[in-house]
Amino acid sequence: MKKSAKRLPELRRVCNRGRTPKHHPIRKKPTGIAGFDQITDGGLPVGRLTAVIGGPGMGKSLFALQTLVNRLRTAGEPGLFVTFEEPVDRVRSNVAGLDWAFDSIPENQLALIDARLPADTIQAGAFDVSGLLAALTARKAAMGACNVVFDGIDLLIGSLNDEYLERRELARIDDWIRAEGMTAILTVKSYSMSERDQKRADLIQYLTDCVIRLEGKLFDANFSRTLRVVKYRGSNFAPDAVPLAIGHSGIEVVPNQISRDNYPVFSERISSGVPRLDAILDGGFMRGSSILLSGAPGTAKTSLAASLAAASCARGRKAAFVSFDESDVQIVANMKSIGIDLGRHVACGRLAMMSLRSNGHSPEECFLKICDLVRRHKPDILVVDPLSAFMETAYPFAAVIAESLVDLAKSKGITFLGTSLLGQADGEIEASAIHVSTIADTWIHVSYVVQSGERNRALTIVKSRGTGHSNQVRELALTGKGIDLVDVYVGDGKVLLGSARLEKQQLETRDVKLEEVQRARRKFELGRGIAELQARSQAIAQELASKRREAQLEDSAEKVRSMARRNAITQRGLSRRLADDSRVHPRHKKQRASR
Amino acid sequence: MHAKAPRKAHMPVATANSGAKGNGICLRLYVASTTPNSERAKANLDAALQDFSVAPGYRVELIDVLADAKRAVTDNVIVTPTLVAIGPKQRLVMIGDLSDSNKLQGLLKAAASFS
Repeated sequence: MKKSAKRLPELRRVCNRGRTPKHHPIRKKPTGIAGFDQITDGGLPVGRLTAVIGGPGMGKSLFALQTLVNRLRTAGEPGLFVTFEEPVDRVRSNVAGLDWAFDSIPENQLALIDARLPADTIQAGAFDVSGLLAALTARKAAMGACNVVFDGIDLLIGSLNDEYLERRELARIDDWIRAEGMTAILTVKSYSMSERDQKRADLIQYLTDCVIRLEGKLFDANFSRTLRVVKYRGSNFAPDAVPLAIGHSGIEVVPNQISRDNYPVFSERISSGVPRLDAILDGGFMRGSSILLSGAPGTAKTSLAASLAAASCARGRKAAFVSFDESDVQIVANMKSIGIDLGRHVACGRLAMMSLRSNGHSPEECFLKICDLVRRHKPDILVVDPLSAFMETAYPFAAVIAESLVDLAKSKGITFLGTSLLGQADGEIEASAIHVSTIADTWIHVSYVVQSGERNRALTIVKSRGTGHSNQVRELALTGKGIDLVDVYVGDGKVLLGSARLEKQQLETRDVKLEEVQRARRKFELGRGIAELQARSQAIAQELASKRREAQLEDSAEKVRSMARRNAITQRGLSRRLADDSRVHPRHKKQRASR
Repeated sequence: MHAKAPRKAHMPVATANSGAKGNGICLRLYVASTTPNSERAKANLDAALQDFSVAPGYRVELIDVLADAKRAVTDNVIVTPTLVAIGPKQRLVMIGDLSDSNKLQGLLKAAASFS
C-alpha cells in the first residue's frame, strides 16, 4: 500500500501526459543476448511490453527465460516467470541441459510461477486476470522483481474466446506493468488455426511496444531459425530477419550488421610456411588480414592452410584450425605425410583443432561454435577449411555467416584463412565465392593444369590488398618435405608445368650442352688449323731462311768465282803478254789478228 | 485474515451454514474486490445456493485477492473469479462470473456428493 502511494505521482504523470511537457526517450535494458541487443540498439524497452511471437519450438520461452536469467546475473534484477502452458518442473528440466546452472538460482531471485489452470477447470462465464496480477504484485513486493515473463498468455486469455474480453485483459496486464514499472515479455504462439487465433496474435502486436518474431523454415532438408524485430515503438531497429541458433548456452542471435571499421591494422608479415610463397607475397601474409584460398578438390588447399598454421605455431603463436567433414586426427595424419607436423603443436596447446559437420548444423550454429573456440583459445590465426562448407548448404544465411566469420576475425586482429572449393576454370567463379572474395584481402587460387597426360597444380595470386605481389603463375609441388613453389616454364607462348616443364628444361640443358661441345670442337679445330698454319709458316720461314742462306752462299760463291775468273784472266793476260813476247798461241794469234 | 472470514455484507445467504453439522465441504470464491466479474460471480453463487434446495452444510469462504494478495500467492489464484469446491479428497475448480447457471448447478451437485 505504501509503495503504491509512493508511485502515485508517477502514475499521475502517465495519466496526465498532455500536461507534462517533458517526455523521456525510451530507455532500454540489454537482454544479454548479444546479437539481439545489437540489432535493437540496446535491448528491450524498460517498463514496457514486449511480445515474442513464434510457432512451436521456435524458442520463445527460452528467449524470455534467458533474458530473465541474464538480467539477474548481469544487473542483479530479480524476475518472475509466469508459465501458462508448462509445469514449473518441466520448465526447469528444459533448461537443465544448458550451461546456465539454472538450479543454482534461488527461488526468491527468479520465481517460476505455475499459472496453469487445473486440467478439469470448468469455465462458466467471463473472468479476468486480476487474481494473477494481485499475486504478482505481492511477489514483486517481496522479491523486488523488475522483470516479468508471461509465457503462453494466449492460452489463458484465449479461453475467453471473445475479442472484446481478450483485449480488455491484455490492457489490464499492460496497465499493471506500467503501474508497477515492470519490464515484461509476453510469449505468444503464432498459428493460423483459426481466424480468432490470428486476430489475437495481431491484437497483441498492436498492444505491445516491441514485437519480436521467431520463425523457422526448411530449406531443402535444412532448418533455419530467424529472429526479426517487427516493431519497436520509440526506437530504431534493424528490421531484417537475422539468423538465430539454439546451442548449449541457449539462444544466440547472429546479427548480420558488419561494421567493417575499427579493425586493428598491422604491418607485420606472417609467414605462410612456404618460403617461395612468402617471397612472391612480398614477405608473407599481412597480419590481421583475411585470405581466401580457392581451388578444385585436391589442389593442396588444406596443405597450404596447415602450413600457415604450423608455421605460426612454430613461431610461438596460437592457431585454431576448423575443419568440416574431415576429422582433426585425419588432417594431422595427412599433413604429416607431407612433412607438416601439426600433432606437435596440438600437443603443446598452441594449435586448437575443431571438426564440424556441415550436415545437420546450420551455418549460424557452426559460426557460434567457432566464436566459442575463438573466445576460449584466443588464436592469432584462424583457419576454416573449407569455408565453402557454409556455402554449399541451402541455408539462407550462408554467405552472411561466412562474412560474419571474416568480420569476427578482423575485429580481433586474427589472421583468417578460409578455403573454398571452386570449379576448374579460372574465370568461372561462383557468385558466393565472389561475395567472400570482396571481403578477403588476399585471394590465392590453385588450379589444375592438365598437360600431356598430367595434372599439375598452378598457384596464382588473384589479389592481395596492400601488398606487392607477383602476377606469375607458379607450380605448386607437394613433397615429403612440405610444399614448394616452382617457377613454371614460360616461353614460346606456352606455360609448362610438371614433367612437360622438366622435359622442356632437360631439352634446353641438352641443347646448351650440345652447343657447348660444338663450340669446343670448333675452337679446337680452329686451334689446330692455326697450329698447322703456324707450323707451316714456320717451315716456310725456315725454308725462306735456308733459301736466303743458300742465296747468300750462292752469292759468295759467285763472288769467289768471279774473283777467281778475274784472277785467272789477269793471270792469263799476264802470261799471254809474256808469251806474245815469246811465243804467240795460234788461237790467240787469230784473236789478236781479228781484233 | 479478515478475507478468510465470511463476509455477510456481500453474501448474506450463502455464508449461512445451512446444515448444522456440515459434511466438510468448503466453497471458496476468489474475487477481485468489486470488479464487474467478481460482483456478478458473487450474485450468481448467491442465487444458486438459494435455489439449491438440497444444499448440505457448505462452508463458504469469500477471498478478495486484491485485499489479501498473500493468499493469492499461496492459493495460486490465476483468474478471478475462481470458485473452488473443496471436499475431503476432491477438488473442483470453476472459473468465470458463474453466469452459466447449469454449470454452476452441476458443480454444486458434484460437491454435494463429495464423501
